[in-house]
Amino acid sequence: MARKAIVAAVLFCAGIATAMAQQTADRKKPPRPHRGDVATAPADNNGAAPAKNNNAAPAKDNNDAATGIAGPAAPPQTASPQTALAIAKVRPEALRLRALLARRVDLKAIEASRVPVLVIARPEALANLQVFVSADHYTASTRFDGATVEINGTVRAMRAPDGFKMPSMRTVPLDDTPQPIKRLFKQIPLPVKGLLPTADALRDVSIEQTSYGEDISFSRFGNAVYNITMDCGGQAGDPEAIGPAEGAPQGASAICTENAALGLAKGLVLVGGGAP
Amino acid sequence: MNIKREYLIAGAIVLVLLLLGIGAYFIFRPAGTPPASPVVATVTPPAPAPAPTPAPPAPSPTPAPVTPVPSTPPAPTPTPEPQPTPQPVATVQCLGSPSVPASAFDGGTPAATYCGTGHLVPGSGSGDAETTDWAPGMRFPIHDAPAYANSQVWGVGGTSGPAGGQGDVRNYSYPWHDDFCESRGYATLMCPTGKGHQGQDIRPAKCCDAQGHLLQDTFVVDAVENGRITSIGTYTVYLTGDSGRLYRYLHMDMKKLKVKTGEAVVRGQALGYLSNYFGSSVTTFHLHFEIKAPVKHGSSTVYTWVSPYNSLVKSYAKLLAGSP
Repeated sequence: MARKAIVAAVLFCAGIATAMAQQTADRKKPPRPHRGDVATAPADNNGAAPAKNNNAAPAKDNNDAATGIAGPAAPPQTASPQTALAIAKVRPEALRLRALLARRVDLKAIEASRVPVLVIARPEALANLQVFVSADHYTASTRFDGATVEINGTVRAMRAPDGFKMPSMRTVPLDDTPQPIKRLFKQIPLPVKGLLPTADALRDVSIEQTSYGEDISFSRFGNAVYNITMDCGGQAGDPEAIGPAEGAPQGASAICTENAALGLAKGLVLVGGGAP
Repeated sequence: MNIKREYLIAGAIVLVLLLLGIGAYFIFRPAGTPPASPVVATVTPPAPAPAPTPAPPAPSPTPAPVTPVPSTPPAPTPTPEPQPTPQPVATVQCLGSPSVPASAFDGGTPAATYCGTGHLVPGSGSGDAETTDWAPGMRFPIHDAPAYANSQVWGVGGTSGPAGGQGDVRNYSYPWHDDFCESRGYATLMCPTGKGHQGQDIRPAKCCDAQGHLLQDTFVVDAVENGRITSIGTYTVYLTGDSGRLYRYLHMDMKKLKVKTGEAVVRGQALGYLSNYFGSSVTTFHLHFEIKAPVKHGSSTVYTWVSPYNSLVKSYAKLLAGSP
């Protein structure tokens, strides 16, 4: 017990030290834009400069149906993307996951990817996990509780059409620091409080229902954008359903809900990646 | 008692290491940096994103090529493809009032026609008139022509369409009609109302034999791009393209797929057969094809469904011309 506590404490402090070193290094470098601050088109995208869309989506209010969630919360105070990434890499659960996956996935390829690779760390999801990674995007696919769940991540994006108006999207702070650590930080002088590893957040959170389940998109670590697809195989209420299937039709899993999608997004654990 | 003692020991160690860390921070911080303040020293807000480079407006329906903003590493500069100029066909009209002439597919016969992007069946919703080709160079997802992109719900025999059976000849004839953004309750950011159908429905050459039986295992569905089959759901096949775009094929015959999860596929490779699978239900005999792509606007980036219609029109024209 004591040994575990000490190991956890050392790992946590190592994370903080890494984050501090990263911040110090950031200050030494001349400022440069993050990769995600510029729109990069896939290599063969040659059509993303269309005429203005007369049917462009109108600006949506704070209770936008497209996002499926309440309007934007006040932006939380968050760490720089590099700091958030450095902290996420040395979280105890990330270190445990890497050790667990070492024999099953190509950690070298993951580490070399420009996109930080996030996966679901739940045991039932890890049992069927497959990770397909390339230089600037990846997919992690698994099945659990009767659902197919796929996570996609990338550091490249296509430019939106000129007439497109992105609706307001919510920022969801990530707050998974253990309570004892939080209590400890309360006793520490102010300058250190910002190092508390709760400063990460999901940005541009958009939840979209599908005929087969739920999709959630969000960005994290500055320039990476992610999508989680929860495929429960449902089709309730879809007007294209014209009758029952014969034989042994597959029933839909019940786990595909907005809350479940958001919960999965918040609980993702970093395996590696985010290479410069 | 022992547990409390262990917590005290652990807490003490954490405190000592933290103090060491803080000391190290003050020692190694760069010269000239003012002493840490509660916010500035520890929390760095993300740098504001530069305004996106505005793309030059182009006359519809021929989009101007985009020049990607330089990045690290730089994205290859795409080579603009010559855009087909739709030829209005006076004899074929799109549904609606006033009716609009359909256009002939570039490379096809005058009889093969399509209605414009965003032109939905009247009353079926507001279409996305955006003319972006989101997946340039993709292969048409059904191996053989003819194929007919149109509505399943507002088509003949559909739940909101004219009376009749799905085998009605009107469902298997030109012109094509867009049905991306057709009325649905599903959030779809690109749709004018923020909700709508998230893909395009495509019927094969015909649904049924003379006795009315569905032509299962007849119409082959192909990979539209090199990539990998990343998941297989109850009635959905997921292809992640090498470009990073996500393609979803719905309603295939899931018992006779020619691929499995994790398999790398090449453009044009057969994935399986078009069918009517819809979980515990069935649907009309068609392929529902989706493209989901990461799209950046201002400082926000989001994966969202984009209209496959323009990419389908172009890829179908190539199929008709014999060079899919």
